[in-house]
Amino acid sequence: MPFNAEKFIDGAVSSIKASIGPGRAIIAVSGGVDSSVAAALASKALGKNVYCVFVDTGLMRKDEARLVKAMMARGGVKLNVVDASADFFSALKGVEEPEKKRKIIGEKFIRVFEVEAKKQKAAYLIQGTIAPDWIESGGGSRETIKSHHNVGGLPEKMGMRLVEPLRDLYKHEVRIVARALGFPPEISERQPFPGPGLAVRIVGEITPGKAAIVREACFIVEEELERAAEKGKIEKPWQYFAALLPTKTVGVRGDERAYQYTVVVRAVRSLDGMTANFSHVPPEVLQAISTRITNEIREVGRVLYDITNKPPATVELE
Amino acid sequence: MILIVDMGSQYTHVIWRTCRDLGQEGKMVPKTVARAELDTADAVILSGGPSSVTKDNFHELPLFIKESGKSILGICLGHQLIAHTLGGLVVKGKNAEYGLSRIEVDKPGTLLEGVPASFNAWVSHFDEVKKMPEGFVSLAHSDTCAHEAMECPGKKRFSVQFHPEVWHTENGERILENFINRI
Repeated sequence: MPFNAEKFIDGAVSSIKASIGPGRAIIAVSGGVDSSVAAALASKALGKNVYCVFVDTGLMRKDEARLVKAMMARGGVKLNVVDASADFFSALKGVEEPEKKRKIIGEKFIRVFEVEAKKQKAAYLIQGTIAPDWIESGGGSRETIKSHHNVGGLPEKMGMRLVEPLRDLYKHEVRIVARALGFPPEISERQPFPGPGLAVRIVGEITPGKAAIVREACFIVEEELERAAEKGKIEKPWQYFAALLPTKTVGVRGDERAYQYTVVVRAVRSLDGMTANFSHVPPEVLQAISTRITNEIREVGRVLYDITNKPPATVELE
Repeated sequence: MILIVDMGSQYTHVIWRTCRDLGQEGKMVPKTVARAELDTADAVILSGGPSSVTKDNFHELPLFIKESGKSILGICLGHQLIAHTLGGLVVKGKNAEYGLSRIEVDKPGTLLEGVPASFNAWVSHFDEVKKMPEGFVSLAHSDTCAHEAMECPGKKRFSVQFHPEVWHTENGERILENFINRI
């Protein structure tokens, strides 16, 4: 039997009712399809007893907080934005190891939610965790590939009970549910964005300056690939972004020597994120991306295209 | 009910999902599953995993593979476990294979029935089956691996080195369906 969205929605709503009942819950909303679907299911189950929190980590996409707030408002959802960016940057200062970065971010998220939950007298935290999150986080006989902030990155002690209505679903199934719930395509078809945000697109240590570089590079990649897809030059990739390497290389600009950062462009084709192949983006589209990145971001001197599948690589670089 | 034995694969839950999509009820169990539970299944699928057949403990699974009259499908590590348990030889390959691999079908047999003679599959392994157990027929190979699929229909043992459960493997659902139809 192929995945049945109506059956899933009914089951999820009654199971949220059964586990939270008349209690109050806060929902971690990121603006992605997973947490938006989790929020909609929670509202169906609990009515007014839900409170949506969006944490601005400082590691979000360009203009993300404003866009997500507007997008949610159009769907009748009031989003409460907490700006925790200074806190995230200071906790991540000097940290290079990817797993350590992910764990710090997981814990920071929970501490922000705990404060909000206390204010709201909510005993439950609803998250849009999906299957690849707990699969890749490992446990038992399964290796940890990466600790997803909402699973492997959770602190041992937390003052809320977790409810995860989408645990058995994959991205393509969440999208089916989103469409069945009547979501606009801007949410239901939105490309995935990692929970730790741009933190996993900055290889090595994170600084606000590097975040600004990779944010702009991601924006250019999104604009150019979406434009190419609209013109029918490519099939829209499943996920597409830029990442910043800690490596600088030599270049020449206006007859002057340059020594600048390297950006990796990644675009992949997938169904569920469990396996992926690099998108076969035509050279003229790659050229437009490369020229814009090196012209518009003065700290970047070289652009690479990632031609690795998953496995052996993962979609994100950390 | 198909029992899906989780030996630590990234794709165990994807096997469960694909069985559901094919209208088959599946249940995931850890590799420490008791023989009594294995005996209640209609069929058993052994997942892949990060360990090696010569280094890890597989609890009651080897005896079940030897003795049971139930249909068993092994995937990746599961394929190697069937080979190793029934007297074949599993060794580290000359090269590892990750991601895309081209599968060349030598003999469709039961498992690869209706599948093109050559297709793309997704793989993720270093160990490989060097020598099959007695009575098994090799169904397919790739550039780096001689036995990408094998079976012994008389004993109801079927196995593949590649991952039919993942979206990137062409004809993967058909291969799982071929197994399900033989239960």
